[in-house]
Amino acid sequence: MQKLDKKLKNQYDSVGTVFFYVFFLKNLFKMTEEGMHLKPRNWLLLFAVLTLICFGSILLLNSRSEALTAEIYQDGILIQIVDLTTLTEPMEIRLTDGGRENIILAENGQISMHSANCPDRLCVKQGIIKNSIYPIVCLPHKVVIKPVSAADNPVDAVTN
Amino acid sequence: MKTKRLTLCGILCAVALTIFVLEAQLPQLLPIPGIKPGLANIVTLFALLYLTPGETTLILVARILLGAFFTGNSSVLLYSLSGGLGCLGVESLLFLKGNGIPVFAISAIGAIVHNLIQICVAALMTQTLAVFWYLPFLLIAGIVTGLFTGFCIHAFSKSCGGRIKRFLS
Repeated sequence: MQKLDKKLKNQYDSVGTVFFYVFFLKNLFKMTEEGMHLKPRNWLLLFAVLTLICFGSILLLNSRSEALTAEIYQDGILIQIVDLTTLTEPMEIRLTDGGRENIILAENGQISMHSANCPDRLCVKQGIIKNSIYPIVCLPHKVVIKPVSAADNPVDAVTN
Repeated sequence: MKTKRLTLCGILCAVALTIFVLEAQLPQLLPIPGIKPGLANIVTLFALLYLTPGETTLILVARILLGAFFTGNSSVLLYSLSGGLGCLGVESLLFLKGNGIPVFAISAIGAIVHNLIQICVAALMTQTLAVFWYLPFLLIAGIVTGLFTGFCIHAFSKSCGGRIKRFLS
């Protein structure tokens, strides 16, 4: 068995390392006196698989339906719910609280952080929410704009 | 603490601080809060390899506090402090107890833990769970930057690790 493993390993090493590891999982682990631990190359493989899983989930999450409403939170408190489908002209929402200022621009079908006076302005750079599930987050000011699509809210889907 | 070690701690802190401040000037690649190269972690790993975990903690805390002071961005202090200490805790545990885990793996796991803690703190601060949608991005960023810093320190300790050990003994 040991010999066969070695032979197979040599054969697969250059071409199908990944497949080799899938079918010969026990070779992933090196047995030592203290117990099991991964070989350096397998650590890399593990991280590669984890990265692929993350990429896959990003791709899966990207294909979602259009945002219908947007919920605006400040300090974890729901400030306003904007229905993006019924807006005919751009609406400006101003959030000011003791020096913190965020100006949100809502239009028909989309919402964005127009400007803010936070130090990094990453919330402005996060752009427009149109048909994604990713919220706009302004960490320094604790402001979150969360898109809610029909899939999240079956009641809305029926009434619309 | 011997003078030699104290001096090395001071130098490492200065190096880490320089890297940290320079890195803060770089433009963000992705508009997601919390994603950055984390090159100052190279110094933390170096300290973990050649000094004690206690000294490493001192260097890390000094770097984060002074870094927040120099970059004038105190709002990120909580994130970097919790993330940094959690990351260092896991890294030192893996370094001391996990027999022979390669440095790059320790570094990558540390970076992942750092980002996980940061996203949890962000969820607590904003009181919204929606920030967890960014988890895959942060995990990928953690793996990439963690592996990079890990390979940096791997190459370094291969080329002049012996000299450092001789200097400290």
